[in-house]
Amino acid sequence: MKDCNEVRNVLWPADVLRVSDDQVQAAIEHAENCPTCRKFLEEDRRVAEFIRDTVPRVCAPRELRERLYTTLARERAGAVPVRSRLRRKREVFAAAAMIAGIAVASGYWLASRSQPATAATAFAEDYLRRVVEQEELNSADRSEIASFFARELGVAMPPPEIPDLEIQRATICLMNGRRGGVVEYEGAGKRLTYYLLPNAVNSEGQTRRFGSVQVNGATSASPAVAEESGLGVATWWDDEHQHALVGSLPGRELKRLAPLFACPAARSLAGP
Amino acid sequence: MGQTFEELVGLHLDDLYSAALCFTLDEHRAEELLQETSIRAFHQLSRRARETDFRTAMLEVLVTTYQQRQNRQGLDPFESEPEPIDEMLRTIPMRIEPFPEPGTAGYRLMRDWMSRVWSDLDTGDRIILWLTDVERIRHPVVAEITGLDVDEVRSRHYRARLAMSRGAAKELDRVVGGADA
Repeated sequence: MKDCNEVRNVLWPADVLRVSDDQVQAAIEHAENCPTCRKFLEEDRRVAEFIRDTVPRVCAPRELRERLYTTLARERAGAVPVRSRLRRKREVFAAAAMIAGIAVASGYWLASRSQPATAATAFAEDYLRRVVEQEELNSADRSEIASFFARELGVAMPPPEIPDLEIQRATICLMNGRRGGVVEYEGAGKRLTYYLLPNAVNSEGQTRRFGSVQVNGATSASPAVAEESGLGVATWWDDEHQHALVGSLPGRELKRLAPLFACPAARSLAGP
Repeated sequence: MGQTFEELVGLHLDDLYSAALCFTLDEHRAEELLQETSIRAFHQLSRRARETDFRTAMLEVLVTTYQQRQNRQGLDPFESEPEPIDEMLRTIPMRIEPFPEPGTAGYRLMRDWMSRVWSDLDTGDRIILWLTDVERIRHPVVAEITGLDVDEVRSRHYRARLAMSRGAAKELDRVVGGADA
């Protein structure tokens, strides 16, 4: 191979690995003995390296991450039309210990249902939701929280008042691509978190509950209760929602509190 | 266990946003582009049995979506005529010398300057340069992603590299000359 242009055509770009066939071998031999081609290839490598080193890389804005995850959650949940949203104050999630507690307890809840892969996916999604600090309302006002959930979930859910515990805030969680409501209570050295997940309906019109879990007779009247590492978890179902109470309270106490959270659609601000 | 689509998007989001910004040269349009791309990819990629190269697949959707958005406005990012690659290869890139050491003020100056040079490139060449030199995707794959033939990809790639090397050499000459003066 004697033509320099042909050699460059074979060996350019110089920074890419290529299969060494007869043509490539001949071009390499030419380049080794041709100062012009050698210079061409050296310069080409340096230019490529320079471009890679100086390329403008930008972090995606936090607001974009928030919008993307919200959009994807809607797509996963079944393409709900985009609604106009009020911009709400977003703060850093301060109660890391509470998250860990919720994670452990919820993990127990999920693991106990023999759905480890589904549980991990759900945690990842909820984690993603929380790290972008989405959709939270720092308020103890029950009517404000009810409006917040009505706007975000289509469920007017005023959280009940619980003796000795005060509402800290309400947030939106994401589990298995489904948006749910979370209310956090705290007081007298105790913490309690309530989860509400609207049941999904599949294309055949069948109700699909969290992680495709089969209901084992648990109803609003008889929540399933478990305790793990000092945390209690109570879960129950009704026709439209799945519920969970997780916190640093004994299981029997959670079982006693569970009826207060039953049937959110029927609960009024005047009630407990 | 495989990662969810959301997790994978989260891992690559900064790089995808950088690519979108490089294509559109506008923060707002880059965000819109990435939003539309993510929704499309969510439906398209979840239908594939195994997604072995999520990043390349996302870039393909990003480029396609950008092209379609441009087309809706009567624009074509690859409108400019490429030059024959054989002719292009007769031109040797400009020597970038002395190349500033990473971490030095000269290097930072070059990097800041280079971010501006990207916007001067032809739109189509800029897309090709990103896919080939930044993402290091091979020409035949870039051809598949963009719908161009391989020779056009090579030609645009080389033209973009030449433009970058010429600009860099010129700027270095100016900076070094200024320092000497």
